[in-house]
Amino acid sequence: MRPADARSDVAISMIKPADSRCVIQVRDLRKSFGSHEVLRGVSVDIHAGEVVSVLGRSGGGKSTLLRCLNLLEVPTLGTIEVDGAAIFKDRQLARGHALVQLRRRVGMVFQAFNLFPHLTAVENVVLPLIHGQRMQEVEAVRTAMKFLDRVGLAPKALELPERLSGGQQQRVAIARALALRPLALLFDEPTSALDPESTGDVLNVMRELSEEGMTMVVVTHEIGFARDVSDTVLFIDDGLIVEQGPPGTVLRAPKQSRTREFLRAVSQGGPHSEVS
Amino acid sequence: MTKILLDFGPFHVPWQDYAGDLAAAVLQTIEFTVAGFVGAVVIGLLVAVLRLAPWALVRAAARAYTETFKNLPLVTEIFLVYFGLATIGVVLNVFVAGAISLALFYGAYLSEIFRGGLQGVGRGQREAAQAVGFTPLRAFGLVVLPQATRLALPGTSTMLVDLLKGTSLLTFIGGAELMNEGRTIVSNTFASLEVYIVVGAIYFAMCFPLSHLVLMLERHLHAGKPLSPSRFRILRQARRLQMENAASHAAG
Repeated sequence: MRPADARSDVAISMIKPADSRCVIQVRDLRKSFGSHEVLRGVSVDIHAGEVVSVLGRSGGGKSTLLRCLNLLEVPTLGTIEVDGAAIFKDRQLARGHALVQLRRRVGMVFQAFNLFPHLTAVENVVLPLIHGQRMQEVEAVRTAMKFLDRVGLAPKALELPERLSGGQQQRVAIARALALRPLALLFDEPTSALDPESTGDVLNVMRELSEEGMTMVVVTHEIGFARDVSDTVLFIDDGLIVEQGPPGTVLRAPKQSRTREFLRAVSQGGPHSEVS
Repeated sequence: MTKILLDFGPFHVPWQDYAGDLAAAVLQTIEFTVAGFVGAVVIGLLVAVLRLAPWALVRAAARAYTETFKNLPLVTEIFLVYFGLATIGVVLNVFVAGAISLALFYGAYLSEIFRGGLQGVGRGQREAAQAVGFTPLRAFGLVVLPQATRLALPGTSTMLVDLLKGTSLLTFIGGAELMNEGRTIVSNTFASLEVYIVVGAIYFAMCFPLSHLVLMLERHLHAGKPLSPSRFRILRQARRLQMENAASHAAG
């Protein structure tokens, strides 16, 4: 079961999908790399405040789906709408200004953190505010420090990324994405490059974000996180959504044999991937 | 006895007579170096970017440039620009011809070094720059270029020093730089050994500190220290907020 303190009101999260607006809508999304079709028709709605965990085997298309949502990867066919506006439809791609605007509304956190290594932690957060959001410098630094404080890293604000641990770097990356006040945050295996302790720190930050109502799509191997924090679990395999629903259903009583096999396989993994 | 020593020993040039001319020649060498290097950096960066362009034809043209100017002797290029172009009506003065030759030649080398730097910035960096909403131009200027510069700095500093020494070849078109002045003094005094030792020492005295200056710059950048006023301001404000923050945490 989800811990009592994880989400203040389970009932609200349960009626949310029907009740609240759709932040990201994906219809029949296809993506091919050469002759290999990685996504073979994926449709999903992501609602405001919803936390969606995307599970599945490596190479099944999870990351590609996520990367399509802010057009780091250009889909082959299908439709993606963000906040009601099509960013990709019938091979027509948001370009130029519209594309840049989209990126500012859908934040991304990468597996390899991808902090700018030549800049201190605080500058990593400040520069997108000044040059993307046109925020005044003084205001941008104040905002950046606030968000660094929120992920517990204000004391490290003046360090270069190379002087930070992996978990600290990832928390700076989260602060960087968060400071842009995105409609939704995308996480691409945010803890896969981290040791267990750092993983815990990063997952705690993500848990807090979900409690504050941030819309999140998380590609992860952390079954525990998917179970405790997410509202919806998507199980993707071979380019298709094999199964989707509340974690209680998908993780406890999966209908599809492929989901069961996957969950059995990860349950034999490390301490962070156990299935209760 | 003393007379013989003076005649056959290395030191018998009246240097005080040439001090003014030498100073002017050193200045001219520096001017060639600065003009040539600035031109070479502009050309090198442009060609490096074109060599990574998505269009095959542009890439091929940029590559042709690099290969042509990299594989001709610098002297040949100097003669082509100064004497060669004059025969088809493009008459350039010595300074302009010299600076253009240096820029073309070293631009070709720098384009290779810069290309390596640009390619050394990982894909993840470009993606992160896109993901935080930088326009392509900002992503290049704020994320790719600064990192590429750090990667390219050692090779670039080698080229800068080489360019300074390369200005000596401009003596063949009467560049009035240091080497040219050395040859003038030799033709007056016939003291080749003494004069070229002194000229060599002056080149060394310019080049050696220059490479060390760049090395210091490398260390400075590597330590993440700010060079621009805006970075300086941002870090200062952040440090102040950090201390306030720590104080309030301690109090609370």
